[in-house]
Amino acid sequence: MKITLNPFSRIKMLVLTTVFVLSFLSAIPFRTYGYFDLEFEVNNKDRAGKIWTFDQHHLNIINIFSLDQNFRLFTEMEWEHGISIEADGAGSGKIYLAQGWLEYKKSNALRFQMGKILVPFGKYGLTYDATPTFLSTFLPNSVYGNHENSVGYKDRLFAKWLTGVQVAGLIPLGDWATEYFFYITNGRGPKPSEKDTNPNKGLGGRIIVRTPIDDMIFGFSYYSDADGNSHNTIQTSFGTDFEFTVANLTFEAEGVYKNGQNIDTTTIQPIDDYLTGYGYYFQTSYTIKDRWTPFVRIDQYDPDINGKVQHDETTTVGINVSITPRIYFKSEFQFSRDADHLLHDNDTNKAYQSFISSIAVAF
Amino acid sequence: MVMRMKIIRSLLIVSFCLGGLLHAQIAVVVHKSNPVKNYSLDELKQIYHGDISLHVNGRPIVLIETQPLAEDFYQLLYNKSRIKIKKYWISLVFSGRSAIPPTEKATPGEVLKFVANTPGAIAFVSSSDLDDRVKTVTINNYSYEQETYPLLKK
Repeated sequence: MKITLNPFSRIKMLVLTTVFVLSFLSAIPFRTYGYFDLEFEVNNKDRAGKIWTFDQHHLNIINIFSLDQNFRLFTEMEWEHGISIEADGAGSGKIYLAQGWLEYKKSNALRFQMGKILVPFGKYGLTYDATPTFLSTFLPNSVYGNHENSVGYKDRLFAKWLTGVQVAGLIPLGDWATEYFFYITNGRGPKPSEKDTNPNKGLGGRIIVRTPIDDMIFGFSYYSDADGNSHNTIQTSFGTDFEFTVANLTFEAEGVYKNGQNIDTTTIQPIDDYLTGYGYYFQTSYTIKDRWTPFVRIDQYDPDINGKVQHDETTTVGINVSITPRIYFKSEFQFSRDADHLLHDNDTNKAYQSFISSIAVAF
Repeated sequence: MVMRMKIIRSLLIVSFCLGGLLHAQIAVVVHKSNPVKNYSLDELKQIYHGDISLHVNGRPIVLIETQPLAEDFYQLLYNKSRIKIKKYWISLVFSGRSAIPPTEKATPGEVLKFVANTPGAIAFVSSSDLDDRVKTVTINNYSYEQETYPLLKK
């Protein structure tokens, strides 16, 4: 029987084959890491498939090739939602290169990365899908969610992945330490890793300040690119985050302010504002015997502060159980309220509750 | 009789003072070819936190740890449990930071053998397990035999 693959499937097969061949046959020293999770959710949103469901959400494999003392290649392949692809291209789930970049490390204070990167925006920008690294099953929706906005399409407050170049480093300053990231990239678009047709680029940076007080960390992020595919808008986002741990009590907070402007496509100068939104959250957690961590989080999200009733808020109460340092069981209740029923147009309930459990494994 | 009591009391005081030094301490060791002789405590914290991942000669640092000594080591160094440090390293790797997490060895003998054969290795072992295959470094210019050693076990 002859099996034919469409071009898209062929590319995916080629990527997979290349990664595996490199991993298993290469003489280059490499390390393999990864993470896996399975989610369970039940809610009263009355959305199809969400009445009572399991989701094998992530299976990510990270390969790090040490090319020599200064160069390394970092790749992360994601198999999402129990990927299944038929020969004709039909199927479910997704597979893609989440990250793929080459790094030249001059020193700890100066590293250059080039390729597809996770955007270092916010406290969790660099571990976006790595569920073993955060307490709840999902990252705070207010800041990291993919929201439907009042203009009518889904977007994030900042890009998740970008393709371009980045300079990063860590500079200890006595008892303080500062880590920085600055990047220039294609920005978002229909083919963000291949061809950028936008006149402006995806630019941004992040600075993390670790203070001499144990576990008190501040972060500041900036991002700007063309918004969507229309080429006539520019989006600018500012974020700040804070974390403080005293004994077993951790407090963290994060906020992002986004401003979208229409621009003159010839001069690339702003004409007027079309959308201004924000998202923020506060989270408190307490760890008992390094294993049990109950937490409470309050999320607020407003896609357009000029539209007075578009407002989404979620309160999450949950527990994270570290079965081992690599295996986590999570359980949480989410109480959500969509003030004007605009942000979830498929839902019948403006206020709804969810129970979510998951198991996350780092390997 | 009084003299004898004084001697016994003096001996008891001396042995009590030395007690902390008599049991095995945590020694930090490197490959014999490594030019480093001393780390400050801050440097050691940065090294086992992945903030410093290259030796002064540019060679990548290879971190080693072993149980059960790791629990004491991380408590003394960071006042944190080994589990917390493990979780920290998992985040570090997934976020693309360039440091390589500590490799775990089963026994002190395996640690010493690995360090002896790996020029970039840094490890910690119990002073009672030390041998001449590796080089011991001082911390804040204090040796593990001194009372002012920063990683002194109480």
